[in-house]
Amino acid sequence: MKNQPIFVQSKRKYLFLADQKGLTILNPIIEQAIINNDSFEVVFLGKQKEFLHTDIAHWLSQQKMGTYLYVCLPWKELHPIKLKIEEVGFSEEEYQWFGHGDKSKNVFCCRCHEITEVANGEVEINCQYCHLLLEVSDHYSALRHAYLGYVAKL
Amino acid sequence: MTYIDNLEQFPYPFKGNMYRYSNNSIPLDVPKSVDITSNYEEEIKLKRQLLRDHPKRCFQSLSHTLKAQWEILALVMNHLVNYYPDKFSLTKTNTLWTFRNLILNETQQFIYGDESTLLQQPLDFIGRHVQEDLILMSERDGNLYLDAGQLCFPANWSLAFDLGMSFREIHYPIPGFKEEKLDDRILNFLLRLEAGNPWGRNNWSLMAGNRLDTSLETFDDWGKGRKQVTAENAGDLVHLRVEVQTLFRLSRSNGILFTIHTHLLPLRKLAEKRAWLEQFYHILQELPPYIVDYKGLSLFKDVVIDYLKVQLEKEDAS
Ligand code: HEM
Ligand SMILES: [Zn+2]
Repeated sequence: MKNQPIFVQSKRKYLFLADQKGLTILNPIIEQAIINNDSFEVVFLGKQKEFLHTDIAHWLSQQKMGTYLYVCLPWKELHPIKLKIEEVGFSEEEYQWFGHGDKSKNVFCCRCHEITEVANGEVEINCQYCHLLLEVSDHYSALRHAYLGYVAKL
Repeated sequence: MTYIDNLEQFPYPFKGNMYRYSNNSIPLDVPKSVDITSNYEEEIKLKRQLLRDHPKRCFQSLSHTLKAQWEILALVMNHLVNYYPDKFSLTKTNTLWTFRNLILNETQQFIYGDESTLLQQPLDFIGRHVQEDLILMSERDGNLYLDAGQLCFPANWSLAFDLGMSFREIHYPIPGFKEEKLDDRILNFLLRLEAGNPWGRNNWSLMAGNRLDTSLETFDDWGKGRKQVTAENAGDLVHLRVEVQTLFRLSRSNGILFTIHTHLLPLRKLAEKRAWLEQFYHILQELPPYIVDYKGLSLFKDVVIDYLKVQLEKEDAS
């Protein structure tokens, strides 16, 4: 990741995928595309997230070669979207991504199915609801917006 | 849980003295999604108890799956009456269907396609009449998604967590799957699956205990068995767990029905077959650490190998 979004010239089309805060960060790039009269599309990610990831996969898979993508989202939502983007076939050279806000994530308790929010980088946590000691994995569910927490100790 | 007494009926899964992950699917000889064994009544009772006590753990569906669920119900009912005509019957008067389960002495009438005429969703209903777990994979944009399932006997995974995931996402935890592009290869194979040409495969693991309901949700409980295996109890405590899986393309919704029938065999029984004993001993000894670890065998594999070795030597001596 770069610290600042960088405009990559002469692409067939530019895509921007961001939430409110992300759009302000990407704004200089969007303005550049407007000045150049380049074709572009902005997808705004609001609060409503059901099926979102499938829709994004669909949207991205419809794009032609030579399309360039900018993504700017809260850290918590970035990793799963990157998985989708790469699953659809975008390579490192075809997109730039930026995170903002706190580096936290949701953990899905394997025993009670409740979600506990934790700081990024935590390896073992207690489920907030059933108090089971969980090992945080990188197995991610887009529908639950969470990483799976496995039983940490038998 | 009781096990199959008749060793000939056990779906012993191994070929050769080595095991690796691969696409081990083969076309089915008999295009049959379900199998009725001597444990039928006991397992159906357990299934229904689990569904009653833990509905979210055992059944999940997304709202757009009802059409495909009806298709699964029809497919499974057809198999039941065609392959077990003395145990099941189905009569259709226009859209009014009458399904009879003669083993359990149950009759259900319903209007095909009308959910309000069944107490459960179609997949949840038909799953209560078969020993298999039933999973619906929907196809969209060249990918497969787990959009509905009835799962009472999972091998340590969570349906509630996996709901809505793509085929690759589901298999993400398996070591080497992505690196060796197995996920892509198997997905491409599944996308080419055609209606009328079902495939099947086996998966296996070792269980310390004889529970069928080894859900991820209860792992903190049943997983403890792994610490209790000794040379003395291994023959009775440790079971070879085999999943017989089938894959059927659904012709109308274009989804895939994935069925899982779980069988358990205690090692003491396995050891009665010299060829199996020898082969399984070699396979376990040779099994690479990443598979041992993923299958959850690290805590008791060595004890099991010792047990199998002693059985082999006993037979050599006699
Ligand atoms: C299409 C429906 C399928 C579904 C819903 C499915 C689901 C799963 C799930 C949930 C797991 C456990 C993952 C975890 O640890 O969380 C798994 C494991 C696995 N699956 Fe699949 N699977 C499907 C088809 C296949 C096919 C067709 C193959 C191979 C040809 C395959 C090969 C494997 C293997 C090798 C494992 C690891 C098993 C072990 O080591 O015990 N799967 N699958
Ligand atoms: Zn919990």
